[in-house]
Amino acid sequence: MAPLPVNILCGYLGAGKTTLLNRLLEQRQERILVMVNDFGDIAIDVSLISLRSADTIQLSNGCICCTMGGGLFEAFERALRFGNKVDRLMIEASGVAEPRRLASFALAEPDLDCRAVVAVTDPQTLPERLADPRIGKVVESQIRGADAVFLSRADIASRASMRRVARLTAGLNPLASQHRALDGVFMQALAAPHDGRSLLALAPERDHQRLFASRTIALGPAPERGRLAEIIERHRHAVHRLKGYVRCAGIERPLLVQLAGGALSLDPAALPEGMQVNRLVAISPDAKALARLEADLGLAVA
Amino acid sequence: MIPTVFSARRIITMDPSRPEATHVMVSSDGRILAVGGPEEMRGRGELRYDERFAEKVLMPGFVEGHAHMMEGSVWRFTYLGHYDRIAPDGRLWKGIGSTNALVERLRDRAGELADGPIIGWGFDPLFVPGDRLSRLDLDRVSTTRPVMVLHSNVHLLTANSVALEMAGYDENTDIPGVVHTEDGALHGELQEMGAMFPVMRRVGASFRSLSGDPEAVWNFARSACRAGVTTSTDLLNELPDDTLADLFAMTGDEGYPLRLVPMLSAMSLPPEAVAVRAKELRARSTDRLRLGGVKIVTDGSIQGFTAQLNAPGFHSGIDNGIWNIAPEALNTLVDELNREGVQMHIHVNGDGASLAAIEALEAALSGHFRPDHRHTLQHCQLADRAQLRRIAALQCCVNLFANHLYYFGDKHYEVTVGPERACRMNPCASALEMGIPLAIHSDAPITPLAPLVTAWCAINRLTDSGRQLGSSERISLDAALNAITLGAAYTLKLDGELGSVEVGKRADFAVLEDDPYVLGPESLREVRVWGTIFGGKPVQAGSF
Repeated sequence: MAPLPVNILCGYLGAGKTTLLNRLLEQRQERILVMVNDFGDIAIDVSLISLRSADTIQLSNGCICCTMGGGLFEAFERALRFGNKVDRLMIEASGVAEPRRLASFALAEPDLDCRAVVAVTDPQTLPERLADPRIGKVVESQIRGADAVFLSRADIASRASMRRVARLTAGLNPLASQHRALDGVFMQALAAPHDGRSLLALAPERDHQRLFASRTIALGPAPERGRLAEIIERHRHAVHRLKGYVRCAGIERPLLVQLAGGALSLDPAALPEGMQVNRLVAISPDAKALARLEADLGLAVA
Repeated sequence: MIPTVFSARRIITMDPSRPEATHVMVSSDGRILAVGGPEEMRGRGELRYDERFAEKVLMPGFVEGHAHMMEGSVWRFTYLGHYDRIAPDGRLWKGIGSTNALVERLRDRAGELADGPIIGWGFDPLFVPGDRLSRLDLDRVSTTRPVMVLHSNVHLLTANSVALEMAGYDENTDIPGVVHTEDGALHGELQEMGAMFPVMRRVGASFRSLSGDPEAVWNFARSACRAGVTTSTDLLNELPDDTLADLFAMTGDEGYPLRLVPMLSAMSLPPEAVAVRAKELRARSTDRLRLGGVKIVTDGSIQGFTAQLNAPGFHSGIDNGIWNIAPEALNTLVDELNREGVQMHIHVNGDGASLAAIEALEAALSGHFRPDHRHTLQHCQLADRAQLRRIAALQCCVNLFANHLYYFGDKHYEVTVGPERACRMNPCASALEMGIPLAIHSDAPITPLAPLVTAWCAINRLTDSGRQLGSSERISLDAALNAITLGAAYTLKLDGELGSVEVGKRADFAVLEDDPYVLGPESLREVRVWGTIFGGKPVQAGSF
């Protein structure tokens, strides 16, 4: 049996997780098993509910919602018992859950397939949340641990606050893609595998900080595409992960430069708001390899 | 229906109007009819005299205000901890001091169990010299059966090669928490739940298997009886209907010698449904199954670095502070439960968590003051005097984790919170000085269920290495004995019914071989327990 794909939605209280989840449930054609941290968080759209029992909610589109009140262990065991009756597991994490803890289950368990972790943020309140001494750290870890950041309430938030939050989140997690709508790009991001190792390297965590080094490399204006690719290729074995948006000479649209699993891609992409161009974030277990990459890039394309 | 008169060397009553007695008369339905000397045992009719405790000491049955049913179930695994420990069946398990001793014990158990997985619990590598326990050590136990050692902090485990293979782990595994050695092979240690999960579910050692099946419920009573405990909490239970039916059936058994006080987990239901369920449960209470209280868990643990600490945070080590409930959600829940008149037991280890709970309670009680609410802060290990003054003003109770002083005190002093805060942890004397109702607890199975040991910890504040943590927070023998009887009963709203030896109260006693006042405060933990009298019926430890 193929492992069950898992997505994790995290974000602090009121960030818009449930709204996003409900819209995903409306759109999706597959059978989704939804797992919520506790019953307090279940706010599934009433029009979707067809049956409600003690600890699960059956949705009219065939999806199932269950609680993980009994603890993560039991929740994952129960989810796995659904077997091939479901196509995808969506976890709506509690407002104070760290995605790293949830994702580690899906990464380790052979019967699960960990796909994108999404951090949902409310642009109107995020700066305040991050500054709150009680919960700032959790909110930060949610963004740092995500593959994709969803900025909710794009329709009502002011442009200024959207820009500010886009910048804030890009600063915390330069590797994550940013989204404002449930479009094809977001769906693609949702299906991508979770990038556990490199994201963990960004997080200030004891064991992984020792294992990985990360470095932000500033490029000069308008590097030449072929030359840039050639240099990165030379370092592709030593550098574990690299990502950034670059404006190359003679190319109108910015390029999303990514190195993952030894494969390099440079694709035209829309620049997320607040994202700085010509900065690459690189991660490697070997800090010296990053220094060498920076030196090469600096000499060649500065 | 003839009343029974028990005589004893001494009866410590905890009743200030008659602190000592030698005789107690109990009715056949388990109530105390008279307390005093031989000439005061006058019944309306015939009396039966029971002299078997004439050379022993009676106290009110001890009340454990914070323990878990897991104390009854975890013993199905093999104990590998540092401290000597007695299982519910009375078997003494010596502490483990070396890897060889650990391997030998697991080998013995492998023989006893004949087949299937071999699982250990309670292991603490800090106490075992030499290389860290690895897969290769456990391969010496078995190369054909899975072997798994759960560490005492429950956040780590070490597995043998067979168990690792079952989870699909090999040298190419690149998963956070799966540890490799220098040469790239699997080490065998798995860190944090995610990495542990695939092994635990395949080996058949999930946490669900540690919930309260009938054997666990009976084992819990066996452990309690050995410690002189006649009333104990099970401080976090989802209490679904099938569990509840089991609990009613088992506690309803004539021979079941423990009053159980399970607390409903507030996380198991939508916030607005918690109060409704709690009140419904309260109405179904029996004399042996006391329902209606609610447990809320805020932060993690200090020794696990997951507690919420105010600045300057942890003394050393990495701060992994977690919230199990968002502070805003805590405010809402506390307000709702207080408004509905439901008593709360709020788990708060770090001072950041106790502060959040104090703020939530302040808001809730300002909006809706309930006399005699008895909301209780559980653990509350790092509250400073300023926080205690606020707790006193709110008329809340504290149930402090006195056992931590001995079992984790050195670690707190040296590593987690440093000397100053370690010396004011679990501030029993300050709480009493400010008039805060005080209980002290074991959190069994985290530390052993043994209220006299807990009282010894609160009195002496000595660590395992003999260091004294803050002499000013020591309490007297009288105060400590109160905290494990009436004090704990008060936090459960049961002080009108048990916790002291008084006419009309339940005839629950701890039966002691030694007199705590003769052995004295320094030696209190050496007092031997014969068993209990439960509802007027003697129950010897190990007899059931």
